[in-house]
Amino acid sequence: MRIVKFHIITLLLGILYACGEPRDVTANDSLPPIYPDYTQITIPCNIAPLNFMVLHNPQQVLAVLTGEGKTVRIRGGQNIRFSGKKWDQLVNSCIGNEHISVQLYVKKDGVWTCYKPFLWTVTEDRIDPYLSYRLIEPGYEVWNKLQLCERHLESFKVRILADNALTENSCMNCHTYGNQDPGTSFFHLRGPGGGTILNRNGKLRKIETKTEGSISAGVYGNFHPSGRYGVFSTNIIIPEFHAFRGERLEVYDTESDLIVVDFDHNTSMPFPPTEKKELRTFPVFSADGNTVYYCRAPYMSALPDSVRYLRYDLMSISFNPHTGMWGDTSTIDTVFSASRHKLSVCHPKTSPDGRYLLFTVAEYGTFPIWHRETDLYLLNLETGSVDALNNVNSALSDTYHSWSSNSRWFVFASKRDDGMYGKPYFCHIDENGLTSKPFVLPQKDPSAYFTTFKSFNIPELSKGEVPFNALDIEKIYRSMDKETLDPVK
Amino acid sequence: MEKKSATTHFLLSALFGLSVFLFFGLVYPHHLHYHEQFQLFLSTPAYFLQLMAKPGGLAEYMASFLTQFFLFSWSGAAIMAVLLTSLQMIIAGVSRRLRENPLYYPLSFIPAFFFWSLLCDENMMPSGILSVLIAMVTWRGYLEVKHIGWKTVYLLFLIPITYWFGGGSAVIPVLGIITCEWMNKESRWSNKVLITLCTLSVTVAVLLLIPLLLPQFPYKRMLFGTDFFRFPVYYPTGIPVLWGLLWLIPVINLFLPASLKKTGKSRLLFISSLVLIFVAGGLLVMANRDAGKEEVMAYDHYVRMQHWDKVIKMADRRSPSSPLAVACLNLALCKSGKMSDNMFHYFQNGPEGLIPTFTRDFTIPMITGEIYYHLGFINTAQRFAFEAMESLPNYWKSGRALKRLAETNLINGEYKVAAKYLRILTHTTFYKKWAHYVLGLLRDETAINTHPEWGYLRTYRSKTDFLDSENEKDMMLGILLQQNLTHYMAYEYLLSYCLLAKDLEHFMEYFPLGMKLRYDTLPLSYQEALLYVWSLSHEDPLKTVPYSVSDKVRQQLAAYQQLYLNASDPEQALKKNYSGTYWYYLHFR
Repeated sequence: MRIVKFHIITLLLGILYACGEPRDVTANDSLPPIYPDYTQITIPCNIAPLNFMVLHNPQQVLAVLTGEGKTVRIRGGQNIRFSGKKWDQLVNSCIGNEHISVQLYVKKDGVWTCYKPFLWTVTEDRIDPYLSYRLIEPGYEVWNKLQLCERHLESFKVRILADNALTENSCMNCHTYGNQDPGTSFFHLRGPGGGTILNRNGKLRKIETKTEGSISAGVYGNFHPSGRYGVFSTNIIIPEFHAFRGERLEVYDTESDLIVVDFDHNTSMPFPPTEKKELRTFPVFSADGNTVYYCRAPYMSALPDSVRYLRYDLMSISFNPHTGMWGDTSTIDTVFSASRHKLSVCHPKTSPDGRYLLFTVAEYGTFPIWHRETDLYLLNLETGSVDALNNVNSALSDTYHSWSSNSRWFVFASKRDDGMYGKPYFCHIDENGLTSKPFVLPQKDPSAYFTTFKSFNIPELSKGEVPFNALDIEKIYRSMDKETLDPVK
Repeated sequence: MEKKSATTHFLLSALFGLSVFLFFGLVYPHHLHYHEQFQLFLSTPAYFLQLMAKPGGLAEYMASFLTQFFLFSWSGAAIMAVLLTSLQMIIAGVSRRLRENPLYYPLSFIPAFFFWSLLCDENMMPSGILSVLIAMVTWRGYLEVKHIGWKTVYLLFLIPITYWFGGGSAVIPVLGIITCEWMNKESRWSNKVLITLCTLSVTVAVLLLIPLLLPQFPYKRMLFGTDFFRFPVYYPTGIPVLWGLLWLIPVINLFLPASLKKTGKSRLLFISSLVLIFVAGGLLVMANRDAGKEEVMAYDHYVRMQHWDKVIKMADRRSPSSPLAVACLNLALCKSGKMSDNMFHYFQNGPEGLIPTFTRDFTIPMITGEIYYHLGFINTAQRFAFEAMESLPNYWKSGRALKRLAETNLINGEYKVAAKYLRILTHTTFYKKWAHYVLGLLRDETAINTHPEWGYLRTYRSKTDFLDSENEKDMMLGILLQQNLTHYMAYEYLLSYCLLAKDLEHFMEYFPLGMKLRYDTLPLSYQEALLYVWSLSHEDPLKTVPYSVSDKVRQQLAAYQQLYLNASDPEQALKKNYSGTYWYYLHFR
């Protein structure tokens, strides 16, 4: 019995010693090797705990977080994981551009090292609490498992909005909101029972957006601020495969044009005829709904040979929300002539406050996700100045962005980690248009990104939970009749 | 007497196990390799939890663990033998517990033979065996419980657990328990009703809860739980039949007499039924065996392991005929420096037997990707590995494909992606050592450049960009060759492509590109083609041909022409002595 007691006491002392303060600490004036890189970032006050891991196989880790009068100590083997309660207390105490200082002690080979502390600036600008994205393996032609998911950003809860296992393995495109409103959204579901699934205040409809004479069904699209109209591109999309090193997939359009769909009257209005044949894609309404921004390139017949010369400019055309009519072609204007800089524009997205237009720029082509050089540019619509967002972009693809409803945050898909797997990154933009270093969507298990085979495609922020789930989509796919559109001549 | 019987039973099971072992070890070893390459087991908690989050998950986890040993066919054969024998023994155990009789042991082999025959289909998954084993253990366990109260508790807990661990096979103990309870004369009516109600209500509750708990899965798939078949949208009728047999065979014993009056009759019945079941079972297995698929899998396995000599030896025994097998053979011939001399000694089926066209499945791209990889089309090899893995219908991952993805990214200098795949492979049993070795090499340019395989491929891979064109493989080969005229494989494949496509005009155009390769003697098929083309436009070609064509080839062409022009059935007349020449391929294939 004595021996047992002795062992128990020894064990407890050992645990106490192990949990004690690090001793004989060596100082290191560099930032700690952590993943994800959460050093020196600005975070919203309503974000889930930023769990992270220390790289290079440490034996033990101690994080000391100091906020406004609060100190939190977290220990871990390799990972630092916060409890929801501790995290909330710490973050709430620092709201209003106060800093949380994170001091990290790492034990490796029996030696403790104290790294230079890093800061988290907590802004009171909240981020929309929900994020939808498509989970897909970054493949070429073949897809297998596709899911549209909705993540609650204030926790780690994930909900499946649609799953192709329930819809005969049909392809499904990404989910798009109108004004970040969960009651206004659509996504395209392919396959025999597919169509454009339109959600308006929880009422789901299935619409065939291909009409007689249109190039295809709707592809890239956006809602009018009123929710009544949708503007879509119609495209003939061709995939090709590069033979050289990191270059992977080239996707281009041999034909593309725009339509405006009136969801109240089920009509489709084609883009007004122009003198020259053009490629038009990625349409988006302005915040006031009176303009449509889109990307335009001259029609090229020698594709794919001349694909490296295929460059899109950012254009605008007026739109009358009262009549649902495109403006006259005389209202077409060049907003950003990317081709003049030997660049190509994709995915313009207007900020809800109407101040900015965020878009993607690549060296050529129209499929930025596989162009490593792809960066985000920010156009100030009030001054006309363009910011190349050097502190936001990485050396690898940064694209597929979406605004938060308060225009203070945007999310984008970045392949900065490895060039292959896209992840959602959040970036704060202050009232002066200054952006901060982006940070990746936090996960409960910080090593989750290391083992996942999925890319997070087209992340979109939303103010609330969408009012449907995967079973609703299955029912629609299997049993709902498709509505058709009348083309307006 | 009982001891003697137990020994006999043990020997019979051992004989059955030995048969399974020898079958998978000698007749069907490459089906085991096929399973292994499409089922990656990871020793991570996340992997365990991912599988355990759905019905049948434990069976799939255990099967996935065991399948990794299929990399070595004999260990795979031993595992199959142990699993199928265990199934037979547990059926015997249930049957004996219900009613011991002379036939219970021979009858217990019927479902085991039936399942063995099902497993001859390469898409029938080993997880199915684990699923039914879990179900049978539940039934067997129930038979040991005596008290009605404990029986009820057992059912309430074990039926949902069996379903969650073993999937839809839980139907076997559900039906078995109800049947046995009603057939049990000693059981009171109230007990029969209680057990039946209890079993059915738990089953119905499970069936109702599943769509609520797992809305993201198709309901039909959840009814089966464990994926018995690689394509989860197909449910072969063999599976319900198997479930039926696993229920019926033990139950049948309830209707058989416990013993016959005469021991001799009993023994005769035992032996005759045993012989009948073993013969019929054996025939069933052999009838379901697919030798053609086994052959292609063998070629594929040897190519994967780069056992080029084994590929050629296999073809020497029997010339392959399917495009995939021929493509493997041609790759092996080229890697051994024998393609341009020997390829027409074997059956050739056109350019498809050189580089098969991409299809959206998980087998053809895996094999074709090997060809692109060895040729130095690193991006194409990467694409094919990715697409093959993505095409796996049950969403599993492939160790082989991940390894190839790590290699292609390493060759391309994409070390971060390579590291991702390698880190995942460190959680495996048999790829771990390799993954750690390669992780140590990452970013060590000298080590990679001097690596016998990756260094070679870095030298010969494409240095410029172009877009792949499936319809113009000769163009792709030509671009690759133009970048490095010492690229032996690209040259051989380019010229072979022209020969197989019977495109002699381009053959003549590309032939001079091989000047830098400095062949000691001009390869046989080139000699034959050159002499043939020369003969079409020159008089007395055998004397005037400007290429270094051997006397033997000249004489052969003269004789060939003689027969070709004069024989009433030239194809038959030339077949015996000239079927291995390019001329014969050109005229008759």
